[in-house]
Formats: sequence, structure tokens, C-alpha cells
Amino acid sequence: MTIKKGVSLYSLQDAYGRGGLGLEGTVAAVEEMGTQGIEILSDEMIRGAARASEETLTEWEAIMERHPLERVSNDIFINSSLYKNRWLTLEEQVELLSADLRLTHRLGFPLVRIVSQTDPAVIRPTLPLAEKLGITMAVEVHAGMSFDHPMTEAWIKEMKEVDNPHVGLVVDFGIYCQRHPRVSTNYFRETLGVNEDVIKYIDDIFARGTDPRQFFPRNPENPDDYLFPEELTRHFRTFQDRFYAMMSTGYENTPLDTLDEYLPYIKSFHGKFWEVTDEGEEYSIDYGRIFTRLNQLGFDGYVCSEYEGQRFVLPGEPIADLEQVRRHQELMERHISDGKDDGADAAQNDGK
Amino acid sequence: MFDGYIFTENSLANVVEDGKTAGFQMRTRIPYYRGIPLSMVHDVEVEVDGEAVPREDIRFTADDGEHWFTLEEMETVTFFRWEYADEATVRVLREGGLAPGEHEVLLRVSARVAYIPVPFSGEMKRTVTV
Repeated sequence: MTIKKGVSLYSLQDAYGRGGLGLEGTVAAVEEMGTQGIEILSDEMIRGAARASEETLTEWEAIMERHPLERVSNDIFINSSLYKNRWLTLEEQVELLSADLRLTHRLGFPLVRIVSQTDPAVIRPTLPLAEKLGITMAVEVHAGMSFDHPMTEAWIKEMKEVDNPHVGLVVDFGIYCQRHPRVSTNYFRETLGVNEDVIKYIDDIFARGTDPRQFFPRNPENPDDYLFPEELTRHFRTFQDRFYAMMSTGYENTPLDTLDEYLPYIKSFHGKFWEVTDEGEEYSIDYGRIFTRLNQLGFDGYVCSEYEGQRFVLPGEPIADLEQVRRHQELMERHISDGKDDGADAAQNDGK
Repeated sequence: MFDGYIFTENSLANVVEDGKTAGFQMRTRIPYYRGIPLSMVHDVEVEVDGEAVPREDIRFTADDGEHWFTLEEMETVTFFRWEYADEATVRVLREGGLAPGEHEVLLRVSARVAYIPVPFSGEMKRTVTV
């Protein structure tokens, strides 16, 4: 029973694309960091995706032979917005998901991470194929739309009803934020001139031990629409101030007890991070706290580094994605035994 | 947040075909983190010295010119993908291209993604000298 460290290649999209590392260069870079597994987005790094050529698939196998990392998960998306004038029908969505299940099987991954807000009606029609291919389908529980979001709730309800090991959840650590990410705050401050009073108001919400999503009343007609109180809106000078407040609902301080409740369904975790500080900790997320709980619960599986700070690098500054992921792997290594009965860290914790 | 990927530096140039300058073009990366079918490119907008280029004068290729599409055509292009690793080229048809001298050119690219109700956009304005 142990936590294993992986890297989602999402983290290194800049090094891969603009930086020109390419797929093998990216995989080799994370291998050197001492990670055990990788998570990929086939739409991002497998040319052709579900219609990848035999040549592309052969090259992928060769890369994995040269860099033998465990294949943890393929993150897939159903392109429901494929056409400008209509949403895809359920049958069309099932067809696209089935194609991605076949691709995932060819790529050698046992798990697909399905993006938040996916219609759970796709589960039953695709389950026979998933079972045949030996692939588990897990929806992402992501900050801004975690356990209490109607779409996530609907998936969980369906997941419990079908009660099948091939259906589950991938939980993103972004739901366990205790502070608003500092790099995001700084980006909004520097590039969009967001008002300091708005920034402080949001920081204070987190300081109370809650988060904007729980703090703001929600429009009963639309779960993604928040009603900001007058004491906040009076600080709104530009649209950007409102935008910042709206974006702050994308970070959650969900109680850790949700892990106890959902662990039986959790197939993998995204180790979300925005900034590993010079002290070696994540600025907003207390990894020691989460790993302690996961070890106490006996979680056996992967936490994959998922770097989100690239979105908030100031214009003109380099994106230090390789360095941040390296630091994050070291952070996870330091905390990996937190809370274990037999570990040195547990002994330390007992003494506190 | 994807602005830094839009409008590759030093990529703008006039296009000369059969001895005539038919327009100008520039390169860009995708304002998103994965490849998408071209039909999900929601819009491409170009402004030159503050003036918007007519939508019908824009041409787009994501495979280095093997296939060119108008923006209207692109709405139904689900076969060809804009791969995450590749730069696309945005061409503006304009007789004579950009006149010699300095211009302010803005490029805005928007993509309709799977689960966000509003398209993701990135934009970049560059001062270019032709």
C-alpha cells in the first residue's frame, strides 16, 4: 500500500511544444526526475489522436521501451462542441469516447480520465467496450466543479448505480486549496490591474478556512453563476475585478473528509500545483496534510504532478515548467510516507 | 492566459504569388493545451492599424499549406486537426499586401473547447516593419 509518483505530461506542454522537446524529449525529462509513471493527453501529444497512424503508434511503443515508465492514465475529452451550431448527440459522444478507449488501449494505458462536466449518460453504452479492453473510465473531480456540482453529482450517482470497477473518479488536489494561488494573483495584478481590495477580499475568504465557491451564494438556476455581495462588488472598478472574483471560484477548500468517503472510487489523483516555493512546498496546497490522510486511508496508487502555473507566468518571462515539475517531484518524495504507521514521518507527527 | 502563444514573433511577411503580392501572413500556436479538429477553431480575427480585416479575406492552414480553408469552410472541417505541436498560418488576402513601413497588427484566435461554455482566446498585437 503506497503512494506512487507520476507526472502528467500536461505539465510540460510548453517545453514539449514551443520548447521543441517533442514527445521522447518530454518523456525522457520526467524519467530523469525519478518519477515512476506518466499520464498523457493523447489529444496533445499523439499526432492524429484517435486516428493516429501505425507509424505514430509504433514510435510511441519504441519511446516507452526506451523509457520504461508505468502508463498511468490517458486524459481524454469528448469534443461535444465539435460543431459551431449544435452540441453532439449522445450517440455521437459515445462514438468519440469509444474511439478514444480504443486508442488508449493501443497506447497501453489502463485508465482514461474523462473531463469534468461529461454527461454520465455515456457510461452505460461504452461500458461493455471498456470492460472488453480492460480500461477504467474515471471522471475528473476538479476545483470549481467538485463533489457538489450537479454534473459531478450526476456522474457519482450513475457510477454508484452501475457499481462497476471500470467506472470511477480522478480527484484533483486543486479541490484542497487553503490559499488562493499567489502566481495567479500576481498575474491578474500585473497584467489586468485587478484592484487590491478585491484581491484581499478573496484572500480573506480563504483565511477563514473556506473558499469563494462555498462563500458566495449561487444562482439556483445556474450552478456556475455566483452572486457577489455588495461589500465585494463595490470594489469592482473594471470588468477585470469581477473576472478575478469569478475565476477565484475555480479554487476550492473542500474538507479532506471527502477522501474518506470517496476513496473506494478514486482511481488516481492529479497532484495539482501552481508554485513550488523556494522552501520546497506548494504555496496553496498542503501536501503533507493530504498525503497523511491518504496514507492513513491506505491509498495504493498514483499522484501525478499537474503543473498549472504556466498559465500565470508574466508576459515575456520564461515558463520554468521543467524546474517546477522537478521541484514538485522532490516535494512529493519528501511527503510520500507522511502519516504512515511505520514511517519515520509518522513518529515525528506523533510527537507534535 | 494563452496570449503568449499567439502570433509568432518575426513571422509576418507579405505573400508573393506569380510575381504579385497577394496578401500577408503570420504564424500562431493554438490558444489551448491540446490539438483540435479545425471546426473547433471558433474564430480568427486580424486587425491592421486598428482596422478589422474582413472575415472572408482570411485563409487558414494547420498543415503547412497542404490544405487551406476559409473560416466559413472550417466550421465543417472535422477531419483535419490542428496539432498542439504545430504552428498554423493565418493569411490575409489583400492586393499589394502590407505597404512598406511600420504597422500595428493584432491577431486573435479563439477555440471552442470541450467543457468551457465560452471559447478560449488568445491575442497578441505586434508592431511589424514591412
